[in-house]
Amino acid sequence: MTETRPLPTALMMPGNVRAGQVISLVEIAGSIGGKVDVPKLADELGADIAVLLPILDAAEMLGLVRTEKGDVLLTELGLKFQKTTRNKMRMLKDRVATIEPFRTALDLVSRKKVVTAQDVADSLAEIGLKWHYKPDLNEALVRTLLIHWAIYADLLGYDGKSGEFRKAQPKP
Amino acid sequence: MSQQQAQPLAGTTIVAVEHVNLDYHKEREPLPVLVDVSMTAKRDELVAITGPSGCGKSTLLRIVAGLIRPSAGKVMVLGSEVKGPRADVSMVFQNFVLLPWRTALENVLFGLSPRKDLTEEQKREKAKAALEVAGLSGFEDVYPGELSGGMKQRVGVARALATEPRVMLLDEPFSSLDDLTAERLRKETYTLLINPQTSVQSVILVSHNVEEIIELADKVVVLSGRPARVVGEVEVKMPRPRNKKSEEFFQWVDKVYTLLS
Amino acid sequence: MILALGLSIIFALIVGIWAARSKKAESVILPLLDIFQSVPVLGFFPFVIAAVYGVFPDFIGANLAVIILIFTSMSWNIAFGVYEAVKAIPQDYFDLLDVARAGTWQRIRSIYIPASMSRVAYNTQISWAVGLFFLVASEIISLGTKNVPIQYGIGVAVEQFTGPPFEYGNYVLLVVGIIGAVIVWRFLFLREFALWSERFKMMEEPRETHRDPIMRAYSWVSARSVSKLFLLTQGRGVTRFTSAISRFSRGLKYAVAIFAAIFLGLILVAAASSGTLYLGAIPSLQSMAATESSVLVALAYSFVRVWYVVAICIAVGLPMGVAISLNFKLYDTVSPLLEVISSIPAPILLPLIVLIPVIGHEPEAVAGIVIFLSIFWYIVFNVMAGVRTIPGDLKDLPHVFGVGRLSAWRNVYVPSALAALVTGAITAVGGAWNALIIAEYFQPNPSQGPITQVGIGIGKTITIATDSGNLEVLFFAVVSMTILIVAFNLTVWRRLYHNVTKRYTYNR
Repeated sequence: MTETRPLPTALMMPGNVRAGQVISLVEIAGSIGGKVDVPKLADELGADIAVLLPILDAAEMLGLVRTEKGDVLLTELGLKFQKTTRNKMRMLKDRVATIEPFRTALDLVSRKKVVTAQDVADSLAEIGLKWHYKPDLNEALVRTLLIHWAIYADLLGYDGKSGEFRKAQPKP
Repeated sequence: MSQQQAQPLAGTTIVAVEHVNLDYHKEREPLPVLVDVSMTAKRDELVAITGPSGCGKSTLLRIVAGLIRPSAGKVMVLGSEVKGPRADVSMVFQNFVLLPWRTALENVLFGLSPRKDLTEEQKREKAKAALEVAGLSGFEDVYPGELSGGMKQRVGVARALATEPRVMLLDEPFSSLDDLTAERLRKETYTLLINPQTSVQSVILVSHNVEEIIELADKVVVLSGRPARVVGEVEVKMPRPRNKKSEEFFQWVDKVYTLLS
Repeated sequence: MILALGLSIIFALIVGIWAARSKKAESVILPLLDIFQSVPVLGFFPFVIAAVYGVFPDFIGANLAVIILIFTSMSWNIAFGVYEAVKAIPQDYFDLLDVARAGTWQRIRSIYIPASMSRVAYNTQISWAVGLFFLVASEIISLGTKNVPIQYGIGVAVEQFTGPPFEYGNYVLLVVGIIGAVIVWRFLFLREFALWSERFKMMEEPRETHRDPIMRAYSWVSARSVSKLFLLTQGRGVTRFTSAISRFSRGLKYAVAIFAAIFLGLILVAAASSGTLYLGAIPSLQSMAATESSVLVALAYSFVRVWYVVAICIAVGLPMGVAISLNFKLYDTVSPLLEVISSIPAPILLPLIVLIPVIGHEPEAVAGIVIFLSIFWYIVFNVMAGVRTIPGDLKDLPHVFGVGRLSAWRNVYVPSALAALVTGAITAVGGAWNALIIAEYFQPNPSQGPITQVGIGIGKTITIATDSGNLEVLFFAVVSMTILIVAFNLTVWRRLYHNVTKRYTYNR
């Protein structure tokens, strides 16, 4: 049997973007009034455009901002996100869960209970999703992404001693 | 612990640095580093110390911490003289100084390890709570090597907070972080340290970043270059939250720069 | 010695640059260097002697053999330094050369060699310590064999004074003389070479800058410290060995083949020159099996010997190194002393150890002490360096939080020295295998019996086989020892090193 069905276009979290950066971006965009052009935003953030763009991509992927003719606009979710004071990322739990590598990781933990970054990276590489062409760096990037997003969003728990991810314990 | 003693009223002096001198001895020649430095930090105050780099502001902080003994003068904390490191003074370091071979939780526990009055279980609870307050719940079992700079400093803050100090010393805590991360952590740290719920009664911050100082400090102590003397104090009477873009903010920044140069 | 050093540097420059600039050469040279580096050089020495002496059966041959050995012990290290330095040259410089249309020689002269200089200097210091040890050892061994006429040399002098009648006064003079010469040479020549070469640094290496003048003075002193000679860049040896193997698995085949060819070539020449090369000389399977089994027993004994001495070294060196480096005053007084003691090649002291009452007559103890003296420094200096590189704030940490001394040691100081300890231990074990050959059987004068000898041991086996020209035993002994060491490197050390550096490295 041949695979002719095109792969679903997966959402991929840029490997070098951290949750904290997205939070800063949304806060600053909000403080300027919810609509700002990209160069101004970069200036306000004290970041290079080259650094800003992947952060912007991530924010858009999460549904926090829209870009329109070079302007960045906060969405309704973005406004709500900006006003929340604690555990912002938990608000985005469901969104994060649709993005790779988190989607695959969640899928794997629901089946295998515990899973390593290597397992997730391997499974994603099978469908052609890689963050780096070198396998060891790819694994490292996947692990960093899982730690920096999925734990914040309360999707996964992580034990550094064994290097294993598991389903997050429900939080009070 | 903090509830058992009478709370000092606002305006009470918490930390008093009194005529502190420090000399290094190099080839028998005394080399003055600090000359007659005096300053105070009052209840609920965040006092910033600034000065040219290498002037000895971090050294001054270490004298307050009891890590270095002054050649002359003394430091009083809550009415008793500082004669060495003490339980009611804690510190956050520029380079985090986490133990890479211990997880985030274990790093916080390290700070709590001398506490004989707590059971292991209580220590764990306290450490977890401190991590949660610092915004790191879920990261208990992660090693520092897998955390970003900002998160590492959060562990550093949690470790210092968990010991329930009265005085918190911050040694350039944001200067090894990128701008975005530093910005966020600055805001959070202030509300974390100066609020009715914490044990912390005074914060002393060492920084060379004047904007950061004006954003955070109630009072700025400006030191001169080597040897360091106090060249002036600025009371930053500006309501919070402080808008970094405002004209008023710039005026305060200017005031400190004038003293620095 | 200087001749060997010069040769080593030239060799290192050629091989290092070649490996760094050609992918094909790299894939063969790196594993090859690694194999050479991890193999006990002294074990191969008998073959070298036999081969070289066979071709030049006089004064020249013997000296040549010694030079080859020292060269062998020193050059891999330097070659690696060159390779890494050339590899680290930023791409911009190569672009610059292309734009300038520079020829090969011009490239080498204007960029590659200057860029390698500081690493060559640094690694030369390390190689020097190693080389000196081998100088003494090899001169002694070559004398032990066939009255090979090396007439001058430190090793020769040791023999002359220590062979009965024992000339105590001369011996003391000799030891003092060696220490003096070693120190002068290291401080005046190598140090200046190293400092001079600093100019050639491509870029600022991250270096700990100290806020206060006291610390700056300390770092100035420590930059000129002899103990550096015993320090290896972390990861030298094993990890490089194993990583090179995994990275260049294709080239590895050729590397092993080249290595085997060199080895076999040596044996053939040795055998031919000693006149034993005729078909009948090939031993029967049975005798080979018998030889191999006795060799394995000897190897087992030596394995245990190496490890108990290394264990003692760690037990003493770890706490000692940590304690010394934590205390500035102690560090200042003790470290020069340690450096002087460490600069004496252990074999020189052997005749003195034998004179110690009770212990001196216990060959096992004598062997232990000689091995200990040969390798202890790797452990203690590496630990000291490891502890001294931890930032001042980390040292203060236990004080800030009022943590007790025991807990501070267990949780902060010892873990922070662990990566350096493993690095040191890897080198120490390598050194111990080499030291065995002197320590297990010491016979300065063939006409008299050995001064000291252990019951069973691979070093003894090798020495005796060398003396009697028994190539069969020699062959099995050296091959078995090499296989054991390489296998051990690939399995135990590699994993240990990986695990320790992963967690116990302090980088903020």
